[in-house]
Amino acid sequence: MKTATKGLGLQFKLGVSVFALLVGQQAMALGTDAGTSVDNQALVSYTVGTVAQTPIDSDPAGNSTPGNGNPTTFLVDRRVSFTLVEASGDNLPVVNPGDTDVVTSFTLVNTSNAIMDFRLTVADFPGAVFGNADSGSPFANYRIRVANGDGAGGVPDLADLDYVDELDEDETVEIYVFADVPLTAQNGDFDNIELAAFAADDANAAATPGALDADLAASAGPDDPTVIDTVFGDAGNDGTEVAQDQWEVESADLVITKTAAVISSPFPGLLAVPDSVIEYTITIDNTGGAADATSVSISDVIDSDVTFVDEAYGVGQDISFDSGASFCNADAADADTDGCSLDAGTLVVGNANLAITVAGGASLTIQFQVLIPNL
Amino acid sequence: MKKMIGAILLTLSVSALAQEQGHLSVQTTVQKETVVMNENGEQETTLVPAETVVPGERVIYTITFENVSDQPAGDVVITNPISDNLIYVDGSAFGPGTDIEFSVDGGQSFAAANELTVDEDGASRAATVDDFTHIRWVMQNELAVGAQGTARFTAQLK
Repeated sequence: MKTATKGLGLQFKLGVSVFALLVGQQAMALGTDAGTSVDNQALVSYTVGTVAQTPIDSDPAGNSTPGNGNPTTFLVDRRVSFTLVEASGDNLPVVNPGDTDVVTSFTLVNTSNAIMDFRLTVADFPGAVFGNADSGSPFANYRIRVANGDGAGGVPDLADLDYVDELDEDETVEIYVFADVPLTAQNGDFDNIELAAFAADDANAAATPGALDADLAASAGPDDPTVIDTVFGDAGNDGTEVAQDQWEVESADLVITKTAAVISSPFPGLLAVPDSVIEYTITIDNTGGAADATSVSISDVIDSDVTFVDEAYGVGQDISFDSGASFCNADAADADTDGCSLDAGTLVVGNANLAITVAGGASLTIQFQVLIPNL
Repeated sequence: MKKMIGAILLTLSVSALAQEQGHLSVQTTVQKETVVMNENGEQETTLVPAETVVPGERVIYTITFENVSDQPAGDVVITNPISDNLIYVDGSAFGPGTDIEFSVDGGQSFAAANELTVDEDGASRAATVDDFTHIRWVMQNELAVGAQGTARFTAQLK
């Protein structure tokens, strides 16, 4: 059966048009399977005098006896061809310091005319990716994983294979790279990585998955017509493709300031003298950070020369958040579980009872008052 | 396994012996187009034995036939099916002193390439190289004693 171009309603009468069609097919189709033996045999009929003779079939070495010829054959060799691209575009996976098993993915398509294995490696990439320079502090513990080796079963876990196994012709596989983000990573850091895929043999065929075969090498002629040879038809004709990807670090970037102001004094001029009340303002500024700072806890040792002012802002309101937006009570051992405590001169704001979050780009102020005692 | 092959070969040769030698000797060879740089640094297409062939490449089949008898041969027709894995390259068939015809119905009927049509979805359209199943060369004159003829075509591996 010849395959006709169906339904297009086009007529190719010009050789140029037909050539264009062929080129199109060549680029699109994976082609005849490697290992296929393509036969050709001509049959010649003739007469001698007026008597039809038994037709003679051709032979690679010539044949003159009907039925004695053999097809002229060649073996289809392996054209190694595949593409590797990172899968998420410049939609960067954003990670935080201390994250483990952060992941990004790549897509490999086997456009060879044979089932293939692919060996994979990953390394820090010092160059720029998506226009962002690598920050020079690589993430730890790069790990490559492919679900079942061929992507069947979707997103892999860390128990999966670290190579591509038995990828069919025209099949696509997602390759995942896991890493751990160091605690030292800074807000705005970029970690650039490069994944490399190497075409590997598939001597095991589909029946024995779970083994990575040796890297393929282009066959050096002259070849053996009975053996499947390898031709590299991938970009660069080297059986290797690389692609880069990137993680962007987002982190809280806290700046803490503490100021003091005399708010009442027994003498005019708000001097810090005995019986004066001083208000401390602690500002936790995350306006430079991209990530929320969570579970923020402030600990402040109250100088023994001053006295903490109880209920400075009202009943049970020892501490003011954001200039009176909310309050809490600094009692011993946080007995009322509102998140603030005062024990042995140490004021703690934010604990297991009160998870304080300072959003990225925002800030928080905490205020409390002390009295300079008149001894 | 070797024994089996031996048995098959033996059978073939016995049947071959039973068949008388014909008047023509027919040979088909296959080569591949390859582009090389010549000494002037220009690209040149040459033919090499078709050993390493991968999809998209072109192969050239050359059929050589010779009258090895002592009588002239008339009505010489060379018929060549096109493998399913190959697409005939338009305009490539060549054969001095022959009329070249194609079939789109598995070799039942033949006509010149531009006269062939294919029925598709109830409508008739001109045949394309995709539709060709066979090529044949019809010699215009008889093949004299000792004379040799050549037929050739190019096909692209799918």
